[in-house]
Amino acid sequence: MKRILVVEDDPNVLSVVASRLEVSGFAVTVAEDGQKALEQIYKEKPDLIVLDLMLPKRDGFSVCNQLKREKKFCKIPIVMLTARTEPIDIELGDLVGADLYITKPFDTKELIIKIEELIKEAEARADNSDMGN
Amino acid sequence: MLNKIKIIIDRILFPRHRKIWHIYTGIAGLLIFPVIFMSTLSLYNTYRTATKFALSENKSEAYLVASILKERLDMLVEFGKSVAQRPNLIGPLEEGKWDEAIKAIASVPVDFEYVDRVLLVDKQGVIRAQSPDQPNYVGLRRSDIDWYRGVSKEWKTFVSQVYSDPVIPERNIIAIAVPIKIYGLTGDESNIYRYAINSDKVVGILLLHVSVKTFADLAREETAVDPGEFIYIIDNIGNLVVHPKFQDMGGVINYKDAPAVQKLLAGVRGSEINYNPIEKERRVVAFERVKNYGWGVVVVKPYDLAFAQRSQNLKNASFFHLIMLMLSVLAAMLILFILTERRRIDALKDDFISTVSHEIRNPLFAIRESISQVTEGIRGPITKEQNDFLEIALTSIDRLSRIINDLLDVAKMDAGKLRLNFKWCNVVGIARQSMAVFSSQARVKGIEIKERFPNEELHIFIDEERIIQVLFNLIGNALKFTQSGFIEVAIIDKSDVVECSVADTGIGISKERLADIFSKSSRYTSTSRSRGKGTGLGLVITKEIITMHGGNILVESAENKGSKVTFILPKYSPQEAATRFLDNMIPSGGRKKSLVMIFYDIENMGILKSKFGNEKIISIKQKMEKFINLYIRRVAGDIELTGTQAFLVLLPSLDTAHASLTVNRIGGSINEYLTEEGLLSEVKLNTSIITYPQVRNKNKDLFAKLVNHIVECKMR
Repeated sequence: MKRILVVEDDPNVLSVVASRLEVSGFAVTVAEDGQKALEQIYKEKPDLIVLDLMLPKRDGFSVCNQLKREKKFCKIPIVMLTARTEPIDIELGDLVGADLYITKPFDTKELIIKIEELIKEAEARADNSDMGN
Repeated sequence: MLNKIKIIIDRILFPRHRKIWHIYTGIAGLLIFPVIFMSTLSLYNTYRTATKFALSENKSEAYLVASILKERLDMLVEFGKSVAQRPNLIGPLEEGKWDEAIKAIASVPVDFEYVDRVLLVDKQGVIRAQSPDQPNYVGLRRSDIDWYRGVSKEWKTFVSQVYSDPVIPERNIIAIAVPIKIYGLTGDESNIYRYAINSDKVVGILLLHVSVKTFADLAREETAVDPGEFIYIIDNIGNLVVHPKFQDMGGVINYKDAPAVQKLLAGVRGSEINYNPIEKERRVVAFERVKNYGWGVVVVKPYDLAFAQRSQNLKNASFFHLIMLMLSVLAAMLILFILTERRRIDALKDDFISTVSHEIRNPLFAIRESISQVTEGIRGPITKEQNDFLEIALTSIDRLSRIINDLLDVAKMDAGKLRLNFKWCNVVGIARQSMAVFSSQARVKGIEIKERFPNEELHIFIDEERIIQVLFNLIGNALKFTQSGFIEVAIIDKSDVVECSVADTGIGISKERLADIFSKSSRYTSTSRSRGKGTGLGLVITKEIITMHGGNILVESAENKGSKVTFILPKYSPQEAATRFLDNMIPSGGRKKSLVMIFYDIENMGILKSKFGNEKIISIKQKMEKFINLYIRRVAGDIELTGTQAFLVLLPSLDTAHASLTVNRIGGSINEYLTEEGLLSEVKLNTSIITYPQVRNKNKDLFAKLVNHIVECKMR
């Protein structure tokens, strides 16, 4: 079972997303802020992270940036949730490289399809680099 | 009409996409500049007129003194001439009786106040007699002095320069020398005229000594002299006749180095401003020649005195203009304040709308998702009745979402951030699709939705979703306001435009509302009269979308008969369309004014295909596309377009520096992949970072390639 970490500060959003993912057959862990999210990731290294942009303590960009710079975690696919439809400031969004951006409100069924694709891609990449090594 | 003007002014003062400050500065300039210009002009005129007046005033003073002086000299000369013609003078002189002759005119200095002394001089220039007796001049030979040379030249009356009295040297005098002639009967007696001309026989010279003090009054009293002003007189070689500052000093002072005197000696008259280095003050100097004598009069006034009137005039005028200027600045500031304040409130409002809309999204999403999970049966079985009510909830949430989207669209429009995603689309298909959505609703209401479309598909370059939104708005409105009759959606293919219209047989729109139906200002006004529900933003957004397509929208309506909204979309050539697509992607509002793109071109596509086969190449391309898509940030409106032999990535939110970082990361993983496949040396991948619109002028070939690529991608 693939493990997904959902990071979201709105408890209602968190619970509906988490429950939808569980129903779709993922093992879900949750975190309410950026700091806790990082601790959780370092502890159990999930297969995919659903990350809200606006978070207390550390925002989604900061978390994403941190992970993408660490060799051990940089290959974990990240889905960034955002309430903004507008181009994010370059300063903020600079090269954080989330794998997918999704704007709220979104269709959860579509989200699940995208998540499955991303996990498959990541696996393929991991296999490739294993072969390379 | 008034409404239309209001809308036009509104559009100028509160433009959506342009920098507002240029316009406001322009308005301020328009208000203030004419005032400054007029003030400067008028002040300059006042200055010029006043200067001219002051100078000419001085000049006329000089002229007046010069005239009086001439009169006086004339009088002296005439007096001398008349004395020289006295028979009781000429008679004794004919016989050389000097003493007897002088007796005849001895009373002259007594009778005539200007004359100090009369002297009789013989033809050789030796003084022979004088009156009064003392001091004694008799016996002096004056043949080398100017008056003798002057008078003996042609034996005509001569006025001398100023010179020191030979006997009392501290006294300066001028002399008037008059030849004493006998009108004898000499010459050619046969010719009466010649006889008359040549009849003069000179028997002596009458010399009148005139003290320079005679002229001193001219430099003092006769003219109305202001305090600080003074007048001096020079003779024909620049010696001072009188000067109020050099009274009774003795000796002749030559003044020919003074600038005014130099001009006078050169025969010039006039008035000028010059600087006296000794007294360190500026002065206005007027100089006038005394006709026939070569003398000159100079009137000197201190600058401040001469221009006192001018200063006063200028002060008054400046004060007036200053007040005018202050008033206009005040007016400009007031207007700018009102404008910026309104602008600020507008911005605040728009900010508020977008913040609130974003905040609403989280709870809205949670509600929708919860209900969805229940209706889908994930949370256990529900009854049909429960399901029906939850469906109502879902529909309402969706409508709420649409309203929020409308609000956000307007906020985006105001910020100039609405961006279109142009594609080649079949507009007929889009219209059918939109109509279908309303068909069940129309059937319930008993209204027919008719169509009048061309027989073939009609492809034009538009943003499909946005045009659907427009049609939704228009058909939705038509349906909302029509109780019976029909709605007709028509598309007419004209040579260079496509005309789309939605007509209904509804309640129509009143004339007052028709005027500003599309304007932003109407969106907050009361909509109680229109029976429909909604934000009233639909038409505002519709208009903006059509305008951004380069099109036009118009409404015709008759109350209680129906309305017809027509929008016209231009038909672009593929190349025009591609350029338009790029134009639309240029970021607006921020500091950045150009679009950064990355263009990956597989140059040897043909060779690769023949070498590895089509299928292999397609899979390689797909893999590369995936890598590219993996690294671009999809949030910021980044777009990737894959063609047959090239990839184009448009990065509207990045600058070139960041784009090159992205290029490096994408290039890294593509190279890694190609190396793994053993194709690195086979695939000739040309990567370029392009900025638009700069590329249009800098690299025409590359731009042409780019346009072709976009045409290829967007035509599919």
